[in-house]
Amino acid sequence: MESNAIEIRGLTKRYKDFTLDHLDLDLPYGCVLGLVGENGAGKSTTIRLIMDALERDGGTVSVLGTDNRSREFLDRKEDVGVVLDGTFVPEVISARQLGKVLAGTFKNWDQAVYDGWISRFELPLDKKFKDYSRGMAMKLGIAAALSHHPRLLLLDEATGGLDPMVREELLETFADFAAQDGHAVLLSSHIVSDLERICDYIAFLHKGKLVLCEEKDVLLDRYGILKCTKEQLGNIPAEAVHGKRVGAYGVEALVERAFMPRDLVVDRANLEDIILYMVKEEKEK
Amino acid sequence: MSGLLRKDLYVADKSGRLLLVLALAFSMVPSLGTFGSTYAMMLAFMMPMNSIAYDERCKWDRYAAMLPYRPGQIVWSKYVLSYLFTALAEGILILGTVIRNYFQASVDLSEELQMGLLLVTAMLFITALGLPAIYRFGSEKGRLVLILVMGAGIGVAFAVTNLLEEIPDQPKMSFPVLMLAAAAAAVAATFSSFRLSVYFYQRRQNGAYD
Repeated sequence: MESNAIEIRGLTKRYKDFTLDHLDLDLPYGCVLGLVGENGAGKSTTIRLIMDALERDGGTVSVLGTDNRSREFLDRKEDVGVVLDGTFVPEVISARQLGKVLAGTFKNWDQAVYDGWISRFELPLDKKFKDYSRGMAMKLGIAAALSHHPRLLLLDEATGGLDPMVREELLETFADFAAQDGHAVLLSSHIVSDLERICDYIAFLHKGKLVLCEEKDVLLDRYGILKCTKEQLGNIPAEAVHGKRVGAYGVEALVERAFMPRDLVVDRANLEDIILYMVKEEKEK
Repeated sequence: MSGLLRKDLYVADKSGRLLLVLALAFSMVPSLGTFGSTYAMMLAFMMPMNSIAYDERCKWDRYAAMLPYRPGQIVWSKYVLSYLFTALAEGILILGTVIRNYFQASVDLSEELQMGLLLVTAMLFITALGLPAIYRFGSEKGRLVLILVMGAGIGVAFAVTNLLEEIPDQPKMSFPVLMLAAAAAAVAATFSSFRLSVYFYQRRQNGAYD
C-alpha cells in the first residue's frame, strides 16, 4: 500500500480574485493533518479540489492511491467521508430520511453504523433538518460521513461554532478514527487549539499559498517566543525571526530556538502563537 | 442515482401530493377542458424547478459533488424527476377521465388519451427547454428566462400554424405518425438539452456564474 492517503503536487486553481498557488501536500496514513488558515485562505477550495469537485488549473492529486481525475476515482469516493462547513441537507429532510438517501448512494452504506452514530450523538431521527442547531447539523454530517466505512475523512471546519463539550466529543471521534489501520484525517479549521490537540501534521495556508507544512511536534520544538529589547533582537540572525510585535517596553518575537544565544530565555510557543506571528510576518511582507 | 431521486422526492413531498390531488380534481371537472390538464402538467415541471431551488439554498450540490456521483447523474436525476411527475400527473388525469366516463358516458376516451399523449410530449420539450435555462441562470432568473422563451416559442408556433393553414392541398399527417415524429424530436431535444445542462451545471460548480 502507498504511504500517503493524499498526495498533492503543484495544485493550482485560479479565480478572479484568488489563486491557490502550486500547493504540495502529503497526508500519511495513520495521521491527522490540520489545514489551518484565515477565512478565504483556500482551505475549502483545497478540499473541493481533492474530491475533484472543482476544475483545477494545474497539478495532480492522488487520493488513497488513485488519481482523482481517473475513472476509478468515482469508486474511490466510496472510501472518503466528507463533512462540509455549513448546512448541506435540504431543510425538510430528517436524519432517518438522510440515511435512506445515502443508503441509495453508497454501496458500502452501513445502516447499523449510522443508527449507532445517530444514537451516540443523541440526534432525533424524525426532526426536520431546519430545526437542528449547528452542533446537531455537524454531528449529522459526521454520522453520515462515518457510516459507509471510509478510510479517509475530509473535514471542512467541522468543529467551528460548536460548544466546547461537543467539540471535545468530535475531536475524540476523529482521533479514534485516524488511529485505525489504513485510515487518515484531513481537518481544516481556523480554531488552532483544536488542531494542536489532535493533529500530527500542520499545514498553514495563507492567501492561497502553503506557508508551512510540518510535523506538529517539530514545529513546537523548533519555535519559541522571545521577549527582549530591540537591541537584543537586532543581534539575532534575521532568518531566525519569523514575526515580531514591537511595544513601548520591548519586543516579543517568534524565533527559531536553534539560532538563539544561550543567555536569552525563549518561552514555549503554542501553535496559535506560531500561526499568528507568521500571518503577521506574511502581511508585513 | 436512487439516492438523489429519493432526496428529491422527500423535498417534493407536500407539493407533489398537492399536484396529484389537483390533477385528479382537474380531470373530474369537464368545464376546465384542456386548461386543467395543461395546468397539472405545468405543475409537474415545477417539481424539478423547486428541487433545484432547494438545492441552491442549502448548497446540496457542493455536498453531492463529494458523493460517488458523476455530474451527469446529478443532472439526469432532475430530468427523471420531471418525467416521473409528468407520468404520475398524466396517469391520474387518465384515471379521472375513466371515473368521469363511468358516470358520464359522453366522454370521448380516445380523444382524451390523444390529448394526454400530446401533453406528455409537450412536457418533454418543456423539460428539455427549461432545465438548461435553470442550470444556466439559476432557479430564480431561470424561471423568468423559461417563461420568456416559452412565450416566444408559442408565438412562433402560432405564426407557423397560421402560415401552414394558408398553404393549399397540404398532405395530412395521421395522429400516430405525428406522435412518432414529435417523440423522435423530443428525444433529440432531450439529448441536446441534457448535454447542455451538464455543461452549465459544471460551469456553475466552478463559479463561472457567481
